Amino acid sequence: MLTNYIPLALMMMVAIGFGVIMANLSKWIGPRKPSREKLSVYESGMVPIGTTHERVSVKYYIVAMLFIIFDIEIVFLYPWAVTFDKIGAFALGEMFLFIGLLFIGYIYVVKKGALEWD
Amino acid sequence: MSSLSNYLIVSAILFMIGASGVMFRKNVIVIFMCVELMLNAVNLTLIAFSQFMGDQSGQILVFFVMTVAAAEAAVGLAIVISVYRNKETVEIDKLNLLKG
Amino acid sequence: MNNTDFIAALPLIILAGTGLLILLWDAFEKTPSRAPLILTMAGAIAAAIVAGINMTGPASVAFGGLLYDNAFSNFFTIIFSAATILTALLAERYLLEEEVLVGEFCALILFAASGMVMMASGADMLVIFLGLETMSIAFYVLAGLFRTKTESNEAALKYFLLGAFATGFFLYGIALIYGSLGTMNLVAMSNIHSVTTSGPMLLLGLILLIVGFAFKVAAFPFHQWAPDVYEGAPTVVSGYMSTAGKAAAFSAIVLVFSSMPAGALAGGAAKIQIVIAALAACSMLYGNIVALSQTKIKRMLAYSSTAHAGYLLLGVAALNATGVAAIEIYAAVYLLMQIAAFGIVALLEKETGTGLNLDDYAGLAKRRPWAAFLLAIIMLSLAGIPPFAGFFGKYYLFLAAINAGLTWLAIVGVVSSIIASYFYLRIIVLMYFREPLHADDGIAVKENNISYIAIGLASAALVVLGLMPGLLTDATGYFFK
Repeated sequence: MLTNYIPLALMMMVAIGFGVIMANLSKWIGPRKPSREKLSVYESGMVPIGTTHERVSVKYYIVAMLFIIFDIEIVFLYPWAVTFDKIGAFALGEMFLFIGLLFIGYIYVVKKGALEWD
Repeated sequence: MSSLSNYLIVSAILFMIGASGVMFRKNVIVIFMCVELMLNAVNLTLIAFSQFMGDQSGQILVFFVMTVAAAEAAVGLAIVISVYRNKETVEIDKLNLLKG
Repeated sequence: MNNTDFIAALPLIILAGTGLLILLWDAFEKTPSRAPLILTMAGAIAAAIVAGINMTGPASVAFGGLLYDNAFSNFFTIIFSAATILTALLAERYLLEEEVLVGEFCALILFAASGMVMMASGADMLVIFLGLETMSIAFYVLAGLFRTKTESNEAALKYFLLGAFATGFFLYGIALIYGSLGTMNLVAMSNIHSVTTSGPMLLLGLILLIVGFAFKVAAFPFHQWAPDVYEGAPTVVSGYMSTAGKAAAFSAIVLVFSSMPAGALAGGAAKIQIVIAALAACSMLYGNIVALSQTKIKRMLAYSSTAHAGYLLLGVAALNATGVAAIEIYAAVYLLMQIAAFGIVALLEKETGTGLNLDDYAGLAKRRPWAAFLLAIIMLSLAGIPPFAGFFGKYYLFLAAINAGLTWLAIVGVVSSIIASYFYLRIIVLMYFREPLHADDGIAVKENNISYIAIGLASAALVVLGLMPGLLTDATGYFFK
């Protein structure tokens, strides 16, 4: 029974060992000549500004929330688009209704000033 | 290739990880992520069933679950932000105003 | 979509459409006024009228098997509309005084109501899930409506986390039922004659569904969130979600359970019944016993709502025609009682958030005879004392349990009702036979006629329905022998 699992266990060991060795190989055999420039934080060539633990403005979260909601509704457009040539004008009307409903939400968001950054 | 039960087992494991995370973690955001994990585990179950039975309705439900999860995420984040504004914490143990 | 589909969905369209209209109105109108409340009531009344007309017509399934249009769905649509109207009436004073966003409140209760209608008329588990989430998400926001109050924030957070957790279980249950029966459609499900797939998976699916559902209705042992949330949430919102929300969850669970194909569970059906019966018995006993020791009225009502969920579970455990009709009747009666009770609490609540202890009700009859009188009627009805409607609601539930061979459960129900009558009657004793504890009139708010009218209407309905229970039993579409 358990002997059936020996190949599996062997494969696991090989896989883990291979991963660990490969990940550390360059660290073990590569030459290391640290300098001040090399040890500094890499930010695409820019000089880093401020700390990494800076608090993000709460407005950012509001925009993110609204983005999630409106973005995910796109998912309903895909099945509609795929079968569009089969279901025709009626579905087009339905989709306009759907987008219209979303638009009411958008009007509400804009009028309430949720997208104004300042 | 892989059978239906493989998918079901994976999604059951994911669901259990999510559920135990909800029960044992303290940070509200982490708890919330665990809830999302639970929902996505169920999505996997639904898609597996849908695929193996050749029935579309499971996949349609997955679309709805995704949108509902997004709406829930938005509302949840809003609630967390308003809690944080008043209490300056998102640790569930420190929210103990309501007791019998 | 043809005309009959449209008419079947019309109550739903009216409720959701009014909500959207109010959102638009709110976006453009800056000064708070009563207009959204009036619109809400108009929308709910229109939805109830359309549902009443639909009820007299033939039963059908609209949208190719997505929405039921029958006596059951329309009955629940009417009571959800009634709950919305009562909540809007009670909210008038509360909202304008507490300076909450009136437009958002109205839109959210209408969205919640449309979710409930979807739950009660869903002929597909997809629609039921969507309705559940529409309702729940609206409730999460409503619970946290007082953004600056820490209690309200905390209540919203707790409700949200546990509600989302419960949704996970509910959804997993749906997925497993779908997997074992091969369809999500309740009509197709009830037409399955031979079940080929495995029973255990279906059983597990149903159990998970029950767990998710027990969370939503705050049944023991998944009730811990209820007292905290009902205490922290705005009082009118607590009244709305502890009644209409529960009624909606019960309607959905009845729809799913009564669509299970015969023989699909084989031996499992008895196990499910035992599980539900145990939940019912524990909820009734635990809710009522813990409510005895509460000193805050909102927490007391929360625990008693767990007990009432237990009474309603009795009907689910029976799951015969009497049980379904009894659930409809008790849901309607409970909705009137509990919303009115929370309405009085909201009326007597001070702006500072005090006036919520039971002691504050001492000697109320001398200071506010009308409020005390109405609360006395509601408490007698909650305790299930004839001739009030609460008695008949309980009577039919116990009858259903006995018909289904669950006599022991009916006995547990009667015993727990006797325990419960202690704390309901204690409030009446406090109001009528005690002197006020505080010299400075423990409860001081200005009189509000609209709230009194709403509570008075609900109490009058309790008396009328208690004297003429035929009005409700006929409306359920079932006959009692």
